[in-house]
Amino acid sequence: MAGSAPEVRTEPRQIPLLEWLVAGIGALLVAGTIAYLVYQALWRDQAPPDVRIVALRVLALEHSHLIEFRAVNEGGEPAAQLLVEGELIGPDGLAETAEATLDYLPSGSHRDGGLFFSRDPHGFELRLRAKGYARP
Amino acid sequence: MSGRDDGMSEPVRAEAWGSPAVAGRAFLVGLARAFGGAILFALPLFMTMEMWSLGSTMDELRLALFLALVFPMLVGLAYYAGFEESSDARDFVLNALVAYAVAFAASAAMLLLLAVLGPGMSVDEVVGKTALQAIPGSIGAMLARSQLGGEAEDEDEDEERRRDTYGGELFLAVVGALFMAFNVAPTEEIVLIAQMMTGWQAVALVPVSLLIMHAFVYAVEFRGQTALAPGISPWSEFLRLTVVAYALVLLVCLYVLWTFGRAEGLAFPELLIETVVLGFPAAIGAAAARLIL
Repeated sequence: MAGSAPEVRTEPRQIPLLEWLVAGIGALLVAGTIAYLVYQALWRDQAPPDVRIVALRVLALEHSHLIEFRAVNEGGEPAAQLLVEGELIGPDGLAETAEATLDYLPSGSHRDGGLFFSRDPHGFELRLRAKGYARP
Repeated sequence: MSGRDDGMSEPVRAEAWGSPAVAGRAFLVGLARAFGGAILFALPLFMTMEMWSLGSTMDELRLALFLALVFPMLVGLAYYAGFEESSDARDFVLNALVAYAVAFAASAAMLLLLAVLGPGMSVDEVVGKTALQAIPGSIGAMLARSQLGGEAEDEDEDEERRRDTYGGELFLAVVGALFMAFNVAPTEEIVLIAQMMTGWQAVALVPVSLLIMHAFVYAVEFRGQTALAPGISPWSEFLRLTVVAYALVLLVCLYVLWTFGRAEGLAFPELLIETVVLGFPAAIGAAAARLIL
Protein backbone atom coordinates (compact mmCIF):
# COMPACT_ATOMS: atom_id res chain seq x y z
CA MET A 1 0.00 0.00 0.00
CA ALA A 2 1.84 3.03 -1.20
CA GLY A 3 -0.85 5.68 -0.96
CA SER A 4 0.84 8.95 -0.11
CA ALA A 5 -2.16 11.24 -0.27
CA PRO A 6 -3.94 12.09 2.98
CA GLU A 7 -7.10 10.47 1.63
CA VAL A 8 -5.55 7.12 2.49
CA ARG A 9 -7.57 7.23 5.67
CA THR A 10 -10.79 6.58 3.82
CA GLU A 11 -9.52 3.17 2.76
CA PRO A 12 -10.36 0.40 5.18
CA ARG A 13 -7.39 0.33 7.51
CA GLN A 14 -5.50 -2.79 8.37
CA ILE A 15 -6.39 -3.96 11.82
CA PRO A 16 -3.45 -5.31 13.80
CA LEU A 17 -3.84 -8.80 15.22
CA LEU A 18 -3.30 -7.34 18.69
CA GLU A 19 -6.33 -5.10 18.29
CA TRP A 20 -8.53 -8.07 17.42
CA LEU A 21 -7.14 -9.82 20.49
CA VAL A 22 -7.79 -6.92 22.87
CA ALA A 23 -11.24 -6.35 21.40
CA GLY A 24 -11.96 -10.05 21.87
CA ILE A 25 -10.93 -9.83 25.52
CA GLY A 26 -13.19 -6.80 25.90
CA ALA A 27 -16.12 -8.67 24.37
CA LEU A 28 -15.52 -11.65 26.65
CA LEU A 29 -15.26 -9.48 29.76
CA VAL A 30 -18.44 -7.54 29.09
CA ALA A 31 -20.50 -10.50 27.93
CA GLY A 32 -19.13 -12.62 30.78
CA THR A 33 -19.84 -9.98 33.39
CA ILE A 34 -23.37 -9.39 32.15
CA ALA A 35 -24.06 -13.13 32.04
CA TYR A 36 -22.66 -13.56 35.54
CA LEU A 37 -24.71 -10.67 36.93
CA VAL A 38 -27.92 -11.96 35.36
CA TYR A 39 -27.18 -15.46 36.63
CA GLN A 40 -26.58 -14.05 40.10
CA ALA A 41 -29.79 -12.03 39.98
CA LEU A 42 -31.82 -15.06 39.04
CA TRP A 43 -30.24 -17.75 41.20
CA ARG A 44 -28.64 -15.91 44.08
CA ASP A 45 -29.42 -17.06 47.55
CA GLN A 46 -31.86 -14.49 48.97
CA ALA A 47 -31.35 -15.67 52.53
CA PRO A 48 -30.54 -13.06 55.20
CA PRO A 49 -26.96 -12.60 56.38
CA ASP A 50 -25.80 -15.57 58.40
CA VAL A 51 -22.60 -14.67 60.16
CA ARG A 52 -20.17 -17.17 61.62
CA ILE A 53 -17.41 -15.78 63.82
CA VAL A 54 -14.27 -17.65 64.67
CA ALA A 55 -11.34 -16.63 66.83
CA LEU A 56 -8.09 -16.66 64.89
CA ARG A 57 -5.58 -16.15 67.68
CA VAL A 58 -5.04 -14.61 71.08
CA LEU A 59 -2.20 -12.19 71.63
CA ALA A 60 -0.90 -10.71 74.86
CA LEU A 61 -0.11 -7.05 74.18
CA GLU A 62 1.49 -4.50 76.39
CA HIS A 63 -1.77 -2.79 77.33
CA SER A 64 -4.34 -5.48 76.75
CA HIS A 65 -5.09 -8.90 75.39
CA LEU A 66 -6.18 -9.10 71.79
CA ILE A 67 -8.41 -11.69 70.22
CA GLU A 68 -8.33 -11.57 66.46
CA PHE A 69 -11.48 -12.88 64.84
CA ARG A 70 -12.83 -13.58 61.41
CA ALA A 71 -16.46 -12.97 60.44
CA VAL A 72 -17.77 -15.04 57.54
CA ASN A 73 -21.12 -14.25 55.96
CA GLU A 74 -22.65 -17.56 54.94
CA GLY A 75 -26.02 -16.05 54.06
CA GLY A 76 -27.13 -14.62 50.75
CA GLU A 77 -27.51 -10.94 51.60
CA PRO A 78 -24.79 -8.51 52.67
CA ALA A 79 -24.63 -6.96 56.13
CA ALA A 80 -23.51 -3.41 56.95
CA GLN A 81 -22.34 -2.09 60.33
CA LEU A 82 -22.10 -5.58 61.65
CA LEU A 83 -21.67 -5.52 65.42
CA VAL A 84 -19.49 -8.31 66.78
CA GLU A 85 -19.37 -9.03 70.49
CA GLY A 86 -17.00 -11.21 72.46
CA GLU A 87 -17.66 -12.40 76.00
CA LEU A 88 -15.26 -13.89 78.47
CA ILE A 89 -17.08 -16.19 80.86
CA GLY A 90 -15.43 -17.42 84.00
CA PRO A 91 -16.61 -19.78 86.72
CA ASP A 92 -18.60 -16.97 88.36
CA GLY A 93 -20.32 -15.85 85.20
CA LEU A 94 -19.65 -13.05 82.71
CA ALA A 95 -16.26 -11.51 83.31
CA GLU A 96 -15.81 -9.07 80.46
CA THR A 97 -17.22 -8.06 77.09
CA ALA A 98 -15.72 -6.31 74.09
CA GLU A 99 -17.23 -5.35 70.77
CA ALA A 100 -16.21 -4.27 67.30
CA THR A 101 -18.12 -3.04 64.25
CA LEU A 102 -17.39 -4.26 60.75
CA ASP A 103 -18.38 -1.71 58.12
CA TYR A 104 -19.51 -4.08 55.50
CA LEU A 105 -19.64 -7.84 55.04
CA PRO A 106 -20.93 -9.02 51.67
CA SER A 107 -22.35 -12.46 51.15
CA GLY A 108 -19.73 -15.18 50.81
CA SER A 109 -16.96 -12.85 51.94
CA HIS A 110 -15.05 -12.64 55.17
CA ARG A 111 -13.54 -9.74 57.11
CA ASP A 112 -11.17 -9.79 60.08
CA GLY A 113 -11.18 -7.70 63.23
CA GLY A 114 -9.94 -7.66 66.80
CA LEU A 115 -11.36 -7.46 70.32
CA PHE A 116 -9.41 -6.04 73.23
CA PHE A 117 -9.78 -7.51 76.71
CA SER A 118 -8.07 -6.36 79.86
CA ARG A 119 -8.02 -9.90 81.25
CA ASP A 120 -6.08 -12.78 79.84
CA PRO A 121 -8.66 -14.82 77.92
CA HIS A 122 -6.87 -18.06 78.79
CA GLY A 123 -8.78 -19.74 81.51
CA PHE A 124 -12.06 -18.15 80.41
CA GLU A 125 -14.68 -19.42 78.07
CA LEU A 126 -14.82 -17.19 74.99
CA ARG A 127 -18.13 -16.56 73.24
CA LEU A 128 -18.13 -14.70 69.94
CA ARG A 129 -21.32 -13.65 68.23
CA ALA A 130 -22.74 -11.19 65.74
CA LYS A 131 -25.24 -8.93 67.49
CA GLY A 132 -26.88 -7.05 64.64
CA TYR A 133 -26.46 -5.33 61.31
CA ALA A 134 -27.98 -2.74 59.02
CA ARG A 135 -29.21 -3.61 55.56
CA PRO A 136 -26.94 -1.71 53.18
CA MET B 1 2.37 -9.07 15.57
CA SER B 2 3.13 -10.13 12.05
CA GLY B 3 5.33 -7.11 11.56
CA ARG B 4 6.63 -7.08 8.01
CA ASP B 5 7.85 -3.60 7.29
CA ASP B 6 7.52 -2.81 3.64
CA GLY B 7 10.49 -0.51 3.75
CA MET B 8 8.53 2.69 3.72
CA SER B 9 9.53 4.38 6.90
CA GLU B 10 9.85 7.93 5.64
CA PRO B 11 6.62 9.94 6.02
CA VAL B 12 4.85 7.66 8.43
CA ARG B 13 1.72 9.72 8.87
CA ALA B 14 0.42 9.34 5.37
CA GLU B 15 0.50 5.56 5.02
CA ALA B 16 0.17 4.93 8.71
CA TRP B 17 -2.61 2.42 8.36
CA GLY B 18 -1.10 0.68 5.39
CA SER B 19 1.73 -1.19 7.04
CA PRO B 20 0.96 -3.79 9.71
CA ALA B 21 4.00 -2.89 11.79
CA VAL B 22 3.16 0.78 11.91
CA ALA B 23 -0.50 0.05 12.53
CA GLY B 24 0.45 -2.28 15.37
CA ARG B 25 2.67 0.30 16.96
CA ALA B 26 0.02 2.99 16.59
CA PHE B 27 -2.44 0.64 18.25
CA LEU B 28 -0.11 0.14 21.21
CA VAL B 29 0.27 3.88 21.59
CA GLY B 30 -3.51 4.22 21.45
CA LEU B 31 -3.83 1.48 24.06
CA ALA B 32 -1.46 3.24 26.43
CA ARG B 33 -3.43 6.45 25.98
CA ALA B 34 -6.64 4.61 26.62
CA PHE B 35 -5.23 3.28 29.91
CA GLY B 36 -4.29 6.80 30.86
CA GLY B 37 -7.76 8.02 29.98
CA ALA B 38 -9.49 5.23 31.88
CA ILE B 39 -7.50 5.97 35.03
CA LEU B 40 -7.86 9.73 34.69
CA PHE B 41 -11.62 9.66 34.21
CA ALA B 42 -12.37 7.03 36.82
CA LEU B 43 -9.89 8.12 39.50
CA PRO B 44 -12.32 10.13 41.64
CA LEU B 45 -14.66 7.13 41.62
CA PHE B 46 -11.90 4.64 42.44
CA MET B 47 -11.50 6.66 45.62
CA THR B 48 -15.19 7.05 46.47
CA MET B 49 -16.36 4.85 49.29
CA GLU B 50 -19.96 4.59 48.13
CA MET B 51 -18.77 3.14 44.84
CA TRP B 52 -17.06 0.25 46.61
CA SER B 53 -20.19 -0.88 48.37
CA LEU B 54 -22.48 -0.09 45.44
CA GLY B 55 -20.50 -2.57 43.38
CA SER B 56 -21.82 -5.39 45.50
CA THR B 57 -25.07 -4.03 46.90
CA MET B 58 -26.70 -2.64 43.80
CA ASP B 59 -29.24 -4.69 41.92
CA GLU B 60 -27.35 -7.09 39.61
CA LEU B 61 -29.85 -6.73 36.78
CA ARG B 62 -29.57 -2.96 36.84
CA LEU B 63 -25.80 -3.17 36.73
CA ALA B 64 -26.01 -5.66 33.85
CA LEU B 65 -28.42 -3.37 32.01
CA PHE B 66 -26.10 -0.44 32.56
CA LEU B 67 -23.12 -2.37 31.19
CA ALA B 68 -25.17 -3.40 28.18
CA LEU B 69 -26.42 0.14 27.51
CA VAL B 70 -22.96 1.63 27.75
CA PHE B 71 -21.85 -0.51 24.82
CA PRO B 72 -23.91 1.24 22.11
CA MET B 73 -22.93 4.50 23.77
CA LEU B 74 -19.25 3.64 23.39
CA VAL B 75 -19.83 2.72 19.76
CA GLY B 76 -21.50 6.09 19.27
CA LEU B 77 -18.65 7.80 21.05
CA ALA B 78 -16.17 6.06 18.74
CA TYR B 79 -18.17 7.45 15.86
CA TYR B 80 -18.21 11.00 17.20
CA ALA B 81 -14.91 11.24 19.05
CA GLY B 82 -13.00 8.07 18.19
CA PHE B 83 -10.42 6.28 20.22
CA GLU B 84 -8.46 5.65 17.04
CA GLU B 85 -8.86 6.88 13.56
CA SER B 86 -11.73 4.81 12.41
CA SER B 87 -13.63 4.65 9.24
CA ASP B 88 -16.35 2.02 9.32
CA ALA B 89 -18.85 0.38 11.63
CA ARG B 90 -16.54 -2.56 12.30
CA ASP B 91 -13.92 -0.13 13.58
CA PHE B 92 -16.35 1.61 15.89
CA VAL B 93 -17.43 -1.69 17.44
CA LEU B 94 -13.82 -2.82 17.80
CA ASN B 95 -12.91 0.47 19.46
CA ALA B 96 -15.76 0.15 21.91
CA LEU B 97 -14.69 -3.39 22.83
CA VAL B 98 -11.07 -2.32 23.24
CA ALA B 99 -12.22 0.52 25.50
CA TYR B 100 -14.11 -2.01 27.63
CA ALA B 101 -11.10 -4.32 27.84
CA VAL B 102 -8.84 -1.45 28.86
CA ALA B 103 -11.37 -0.17 31.39
CA PHE B 104 -11.79 -3.57 33.06
CA ALA B 105 -8.03 -4.02 33.28
CA ALA B 106 -7.49 -0.49 34.60
CA SER B 107 -10.33 -0.88 37.08
CA ALA B 108 -9.09 -4.21 38.45
CA ALA B 109 -5.51 -2.97 38.64
CA MET B 110 -6.38 0.28 40.42
CA LEU B 111 -8.79 -1.33 42.87
CA LEU B 112 -6.15 -3.93 43.75
CA LEU B 113 -3.51 -1.25 44.16
CA LEU B 114 -5.81 0.84 46.36
CA ALA B 115 -6.67 -2.24 48.46
CA VAL B 116 -10.35 -1.97 47.59
CA LEU B 117 -10.08 -5.48 46.23
CA GLY B 118 -8.34 -7.90 48.51
CA PRO B 119 -8.40 -11.30 50.09
CA GLY B 120 -11.61 -12.39 51.75
CA MET B 121 -13.86 -11.11 48.99
CA SER B 122 -16.27 -13.32 47.15
CA VAL B 123 -16.39 -13.50 43.36
CA ASP B 124 -19.65 -11.51 43.36
CA GLU B 125 -18.03 -8.69 45.20
CA VAL B 126 -14.97 -8.58 42.96
CA VAL B 127 -17.03 -8.76 39.76
CA GLY B 128 -19.48 -6.10 40.90
CA LYS B 129 -16.84 -3.64 42.05
CA THR B 130 -14.65 -4.07 38.98
CA ALA B 131 -17.52 -3.90 36.49
CA LEU B 132 -19.08 -0.81 38.05
CA GLN B 133 -15.79 1.10 38.03
CA ALA B 134 -15.09 -0.04 34.49
CA ILE B 135 -18.03 2.01 33.19
CA PRO B 136 -16.56 5.50 33.74
CA GLY B 137 -13.18 4.04 32.80
CA SER B 138 -14.46 2.90 29.44
CA ILE B 139 -15.73 6.39 28.67
CA GLY B 140 -12.32 7.74 29.66
CA ALA B 141 -10.54 5.17 27.51
CA MET B 142 -12.69 6.13 24.57
CA LEU B 143 -12.11 9.84 25.02
CA ALA B 144 -8.39 9.45 25.64
CA ARG B 145 -7.55 9.80 22.02
CA SER B 146 -9.38 13.02 21.54
CA GLN B 147 -8.16 14.45 24.85
CA LEU B 148 -4.67 13.09 25.38
CA GLY B 149 -3.75 12.54 21.76
CA GLY B 150 -0.92 14.58 20.33
CA GLU B 151 -2.78 15.38 17.15
CA ALA B 152 -5.56 17.31 18.84
CA GLU B 153 -4.72 20.25 16.61
CA ASP B 154 -5.64 18.77 13.29
CA GLU B 155 -9.01 17.41 14.27
CA ASP B 156 -10.47 14.96 11.87
CA GLU B 157 -12.81 16.88 9.63
CA ASP B 158 -15.04 13.87 9.34
CA GLU B 159 -15.48 13.68 13.09
CA GLU B 160 -16.06 17.38 13.28
CA ARG B 161 -18.78 17.20 10.66
CA ARG B 162 -20.49 14.23 12.33
CA ARG B 163 -20.50 16.02 15.66
CA ASP B 164 -22.00 19.18 14.34
CA THR B 165 -25.27 17.50 13.47
CA TYR B 166 -28.23 17.99 15.78
CA GLY B 167 -28.19 14.32 16.75
CA GLY B 168 -24.46 14.48 17.37
CA GLU B 169 -24.78 17.44 19.70
CA LEU B 170 -27.55 15.80 21.69
CA PHE B 171 -25.65 12.50 21.84
CA LEU B 172 -22.56 14.18 23.26
CA ALA B 173 -24.76 16.04 25.73
CA VAL B 174 -26.17 12.72 26.96
CA VAL B 175 -22.68 11.23 27.32
CA GLY B 176 -21.46 14.27 29.24
CA ALA B 177 -24.51 14.21 31.47
CA LEU B 178 -24.17 10.49 32.14
CA PHE B 179 -20.52 10.83 33.02
CA MET B 180 -21.06 13.71 35.44
CA ALA B 181 -24.17 12.14 36.96
CA PHE B 182 -22.26 8.90 37.43
CA ASN B 183 -19.53 10.77 39.27
CA VAL B 184 -21.86 12.48 41.70
CA ALA B 185 -24.85 10.18 42.09
CA PRO B 186 -23.20 7.49 44.25
CA THR B 187 -22.39 9.95 47.04
CA GLU B 188 -24.63 10.52 50.03
CA GLU B 189 -24.40 14.23 49.43
CA ILE B 190 -26.94 14.24 46.62
CA VAL B 191 -29.59 12.83 48.94
CA LEU B 192 -28.50 15.18 51.70
CA ILE B 193 -28.54 18.29 49.50
CA ALA B 194 -31.99 17.38 48.20
CA GLN B 195 -33.19 17.15 51.79
CA MET B 196 -31.57 20.40 52.89
CA MET B 197 -32.92 22.43 50.00
CA THR B 198 -36.11 24.38 50.31
CA GLY B 199 -38.64 24.21 47.52
CA TRP B 200 -37.59 27.63 46.23
CA GLN B 201 -33.97 26.65 45.99
CA ALA B 202 -34.95 23.63 43.95
CA VAL B 203 -37.06 25.83 41.71
CA ALA B 204 -34.14 28.22 41.26
CA LEU B 205 -31.79 25.40 40.32
CA VAL B 206 -33.68 24.71 37.09
CA PRO B 207 -33.22 28.12 35.40
CA VAL B 208 -29.66 28.32 36.73
CA SER B 209 -28.87 24.94 35.13
CA LEU B 210 -30.46 26.08 31.87
CA LEU B 211 -28.62 29.37 31.91
CA ILE B 212 -25.23 27.75 32.46
CA MET B 213 -25.94 25.20 29.74
CA HIS B 214 -26.87 27.92 27.33
CA ALA B 215 -23.77 29.92 28.23
CA PHE B 216 -21.72 26.91 27.19
CA VAL B 217 -23.39 26.89 23.79
CA TYR B 218 -22.03 30.38 23.28
CA ALA B 219 -18.64 29.38 24.64
CA VAL B 220 -18.51 26.68 22.00
CA GLU B 221 -19.37 29.27 19.45
CA PHE B 222 -16.54 31.52 20.62
CA ARG B 223 -14.19 28.64 20.09
CA GLY B 224 -15.21 28.98 16.48
CA GLN B 225 -16.77 25.58 16.08
CA THR B 226 -20.46 25.93 15.64
CA ALA B 227 -21.21 29.37 14.44
CA LEU B 228 -24.91 29.96 14.52
CA ALA B 229 -26.32 29.82 11.06
CA PRO B 230 -27.50 33.31 10.12
CA GLY B 231 -31.22 33.74 10.51
CA ILE B 232 -31.53 31.41 13.50
CA SER B 233 -32.72 33.41 16.47
CA PRO B 234 -31.09 32.85 19.87
CA TRP B 235 -34.48 31.78 21.20
CA SER B 236 -34.76 29.05 18.65
CA GLU B 237 -31.26 27.89 19.62
CA PHE B 238 -32.28 27.94 23.26
CA LEU B 239 -35.42 25.90 22.69
CA ARG B 240 -33.96 23.60 20.09
CA LEU B 241 -30.71 22.77 21.83
CA THR B 242 -30.54 23.85 25.46
CA VAL B 243 -34.04 22.95 26.58
CA VAL B 244 -34.03 19.63 24.75
CA ALA B 245 -30.59 18.81 26.13
CA TYR B 246 -31.73 19.69 29.66
CA ALA B 247 -34.74 17.42 29.33
CA LEU B 248 -32.40 14.62 28.26
CA VAL B 249 -30.12 15.45 31.19
CA LEU B 250 -33.00 15.02 33.65
CA LEU B 251 -33.92 11.68 32.09
CA VAL B 252 -30.31 10.53 32.34
CA CYS B 253 -30.25 11.59 36.00
CA LEU B 254 -33.43 9.72 36.73
CA TYR B 255 -31.97 6.62 35.10
CA VAL B 256 -28.72 6.90 37.04
CA LEU B 257 -30.58 7.40 40.34
CA TRP B 258 -32.70 4.35 39.60
CA THR B 259 -29.64 2.29 38.66
CA PHE B 260 -27.87 3.13 41.91
CA GLY B 261 -31.00 2.45 43.93
CA ARG B 262 -31.16 6.07 45.05
CA ALA B 263 -34.77 6.39 43.93
CA GLU B 264 -36.02 3.62 46.20
CA GLY B 265 -38.63 4.50 48.75
CA LEU B 266 -38.80 8.15 47.73
CA ALA B 267 -42.02 10.08 47.32
CA PHE B 268 -42.39 11.76 43.95
CA PRO B 269 -41.55 15.33 45.10
CA GLU B 270 -38.34 14.14 46.79
CA LEU B 271 -37.39 12.13 43.72
CA LEU B 272 -37.96 15.18 41.54
CA ILE B 273 -35.80 17.41 43.73
CA GLU B 274 -33.06 14.77 43.80
CA THR B 275 -33.20 14.60 40.00
CA VAL B 276 -32.92 18.37 39.68
CA VAL B 277 -30.02 18.45 42.15
CA LEU B 278 -28.18 15.74 40.23
CA GLY B 279 -29.25 17.49 37.04
CA PHE B 280 -27.15 20.52 37.94
CA PRO B 281 -23.71 18.91 37.59
CA ALA B 282 -25.05 16.67 34.82
CA ALA B 283 -26.22 19.74 32.86
CA ILE B 284 -22.76 21.24 33.12
CA GLY B 285 -21.29 17.91 32.01
CA ALA B 286 -23.66 17.83 29.06
CA ALA B 287 -22.79 21.37 28.03
CA ALA B 288 -19.07 20.96 28.56
CA ALA B 289 -18.93 17.70 26.61
CA ARG B 290 -19.50 19.61 23.42
CA LEU B 291 -16.78 22.05 24.36
CA ILE B 292 -14.20 19.46 25.36
CA LEU B 293 -14.71 16.86 22.64
